[in-house]
Amino acid sequence: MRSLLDKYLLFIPFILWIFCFRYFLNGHLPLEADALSYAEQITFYTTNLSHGVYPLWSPGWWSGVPYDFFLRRMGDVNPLFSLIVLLKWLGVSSAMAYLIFITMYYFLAGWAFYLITRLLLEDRFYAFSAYVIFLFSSWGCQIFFNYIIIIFVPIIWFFYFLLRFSQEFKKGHLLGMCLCVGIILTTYIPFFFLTILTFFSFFYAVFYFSDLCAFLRRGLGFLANNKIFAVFCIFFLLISCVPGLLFYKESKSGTFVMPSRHSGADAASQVTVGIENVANGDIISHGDFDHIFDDQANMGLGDIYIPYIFFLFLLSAALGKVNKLIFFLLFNVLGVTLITITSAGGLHHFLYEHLIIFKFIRNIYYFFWLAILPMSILLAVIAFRSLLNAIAGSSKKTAWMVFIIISHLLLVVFLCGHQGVLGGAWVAVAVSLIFFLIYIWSDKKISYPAGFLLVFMAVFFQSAQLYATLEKRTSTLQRQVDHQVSTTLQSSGKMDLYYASPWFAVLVNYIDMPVLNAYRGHQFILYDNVFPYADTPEFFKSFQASLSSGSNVAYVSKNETSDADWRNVPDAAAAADVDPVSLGELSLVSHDANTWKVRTHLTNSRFLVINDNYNSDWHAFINGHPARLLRANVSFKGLWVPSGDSQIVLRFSSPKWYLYHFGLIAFFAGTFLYLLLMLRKQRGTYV
Amino acid sequence: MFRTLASAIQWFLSRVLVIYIILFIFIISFVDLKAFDMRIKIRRLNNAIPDFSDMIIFSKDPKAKIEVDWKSYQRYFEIIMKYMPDDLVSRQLLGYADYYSGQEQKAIDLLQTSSVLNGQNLFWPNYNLGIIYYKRGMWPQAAQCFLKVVSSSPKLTLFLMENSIVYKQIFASPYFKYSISDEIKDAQSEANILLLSCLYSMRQYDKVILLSNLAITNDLSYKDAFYNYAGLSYFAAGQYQKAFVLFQKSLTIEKNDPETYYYISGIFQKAGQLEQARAFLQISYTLHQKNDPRFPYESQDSLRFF
Repeated sequence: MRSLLDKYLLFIPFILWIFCFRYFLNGHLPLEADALSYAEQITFYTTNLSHGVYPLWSPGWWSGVPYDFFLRRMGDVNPLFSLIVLLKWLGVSSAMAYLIFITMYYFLAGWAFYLITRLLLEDRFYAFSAYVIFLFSSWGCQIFFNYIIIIFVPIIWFFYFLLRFSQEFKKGHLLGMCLCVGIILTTYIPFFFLTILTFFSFFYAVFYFSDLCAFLRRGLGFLANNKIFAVFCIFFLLISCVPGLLFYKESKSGTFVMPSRHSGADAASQVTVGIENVANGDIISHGDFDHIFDDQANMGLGDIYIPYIFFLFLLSAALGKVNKLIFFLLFNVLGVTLITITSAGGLHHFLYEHLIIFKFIRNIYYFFWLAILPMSILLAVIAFRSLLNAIAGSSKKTAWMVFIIISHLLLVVFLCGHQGVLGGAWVAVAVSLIFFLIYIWSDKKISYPAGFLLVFMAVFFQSAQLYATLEKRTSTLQRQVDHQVSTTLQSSGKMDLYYASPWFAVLVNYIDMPVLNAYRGHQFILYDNVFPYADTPEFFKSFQASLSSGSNVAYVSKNETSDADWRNVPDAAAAADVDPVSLGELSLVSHDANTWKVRTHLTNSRFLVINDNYNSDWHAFINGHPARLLRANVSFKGLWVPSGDSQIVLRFSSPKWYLYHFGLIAFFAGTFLYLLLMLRKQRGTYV
Repeated sequence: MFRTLASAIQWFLSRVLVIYIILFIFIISFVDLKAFDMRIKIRRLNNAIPDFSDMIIFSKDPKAKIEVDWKSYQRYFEIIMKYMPDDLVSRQLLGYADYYSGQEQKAIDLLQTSSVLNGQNLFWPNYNLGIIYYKRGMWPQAAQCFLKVVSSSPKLTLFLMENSIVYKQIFASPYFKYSISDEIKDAQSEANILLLSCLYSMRQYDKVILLSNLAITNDLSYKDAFYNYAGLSYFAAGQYQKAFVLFQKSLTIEKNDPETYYYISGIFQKAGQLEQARAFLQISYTLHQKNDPRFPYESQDSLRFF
């Protein structure tokens, strides 16, 4: 029995977690907020990869944008994305493959958390307690609500490898650290990790200075003894920095804009965020704490929930002996919190002004999920251990019992002062009390498996009830959101662009959305007349009229073109040819993220506009010869096509970049496999 | 003693309890609690902002939308009231939402306490109070409220609406396609009609005639109704000739009000001209059959906030 439970210690709670979130995992309830966008982008990426295409252009996002932004958001070199490709190859639908991936990814996070706790506390029971509290906290909801699981997994595994490395100084652990950092560095937001690491290092130096010295001494010795391996690790980290640096360069080049993100920012990079915008992304603005103790039936997917046994641990442990690890975690939590509250604390403003990395962090409340919550759970479990040790070392059973009852009553009284606390909370308190009483009145040892079971029950019953209400509420909310979205789409208001081509942003600013959307409904348009234009408000007025009437005039920028590109055909038809496919003048041969291949059959030379955004990295070829690609109708691609039969190819970027990206994927995948092999060789007690 | 105290402190500092003290010191030292509190309030308010489209549609035509989620509006206005108890605009809007969610007495209390600002009678709270009393048949109370409405300043009403953040949010809705001045003018006309209706029900005909004449000279809509009420009062007082002239004037403005024909028919009947009486009665009956939703004007007795 015991060995069986040992084996499934992590899996049984996880299976029950899957049961709690079955409505999301079976696709009955949709992903929300940023999670939806990330799911779409990761699915797009992996679908292209499974077809052998490395997407560098996203044609579906506001009429086309460079895809590098999305690649950096997801961290394209993450070897675990291959799981999605594999699942799709096995016939699993794209949506389901993604859901399986994030579920597995969440399990990886929980597993790492369990391993870290076990390493620190050297006890399976406390590691299990920390694991179930973490698993059933609303961290699990986040995978359906935002994207931070993508960066959390490498962060938490980094700390696991760091701890292992500090104990054993083995190659595998160092490589594990490098791989995790490498994955984080390839995303456009490695700064969350860097901040957490900085706090961690600072407080480690404060609380464990002699340990730090010893670690550095041994670490340097290890590197000196493994020079080639050390050089490889450094090389790996340097290579990992390349995508991020290239993206940073691109973000300053003007090839894309991020109006809603960049507004108020004083740096050139479009990815930087204005200080006001950051304050809107902090923990106070998000208000995710509102339902921890109140109105739980109305908890949203983004709200914070921690099983109440966490608070019971903290309350009851008040008389346990404090230790350095508790202080270390506490100061880390407080330090990160001070940043997370932005304008309500002075630290963030100072860092924003003096450290460029803080200009890149918008949703600063993610620190809560990435550091504050996991560290707080760890702190509570360490305090809990301290309490149990104190009880075990004392002979005053009655006194401890009274204290435990009082601390539980305190929470009960506190909860009675709040409205909308679900029944599961009382079950959690009761089960926790039973656990402590059994512990005090038995031989002060955690009985196996009863102790595990009681902690798990205290967490699970409350969480299961809460997530059941979440399911009902989310489906109701979704209907309301659908209604609001359809209402908004029908209105003629300006769209709030998050990421777009600069020229498309101009169009959205000047042209009414219904007119623009109707125009974008035509993939190909053939024109006889091409006129130059200058960027003036008057032009955009007449351009809107031209788009509305479907006139036979395409416009090209006066500054970017010459007389040879313009043409006026007085006796041409009044209207442009918006459906050349059905007239047999044009056929689409093939199209993927990076390429357009079309065949034309024209009686006379005409100007073809492809309603996919222009970018200087797009190259055109007509019958195998390079052709001049123009920015037409403000934002789109246009080129002159000769009469007769022509084969037109448009290609984004150049072969060397495809090679670079595929090479990088292969490099990371190879390192990952190498890491697995090394870990298998040096398998320790904990994995 | 000192040693005991020292060991007690030492014991205390060696317990987990000490982290709560650190937490407390951290909060009072590093967190700007005032800013923190203010930002929480702002966030709660922002999160509670409802979609005003349903409320706008309902206010314009209470029959158009049956299911309105009044709770979201009540929650929002209540939060504002919690943070800004003196905000009369939100109080009045909460009264509106409470009334339609079935809490009539609470609505009356809120409207009463939001009806006066620095000695000036406010338009919408008094209008809505008047409507509630009118619906209950409490003519004197309703008349008093409508009298306050007609004597209130439209400029002040407009100023309060244009400078209220809540109204700005309402105006920002894609469903709000109305001119505020026109709506205030329309509501003023309605208030005048309902005031005349109250006074007529109270048989204060001389006041009806006086106020009707006043309303006719003012820049208001539905002047036919004012002629009608003046005519009705003369009719009730037995002055059929004057009543006839006023009903005729009413007909020159609005030809489709069945009531006007009905009373003219009555005058002919009194005069013994049964043929004409029958003819006017026939027209009145035919118009009744058409069920023109505009008539009678007194039936437009729903609460409004614009």
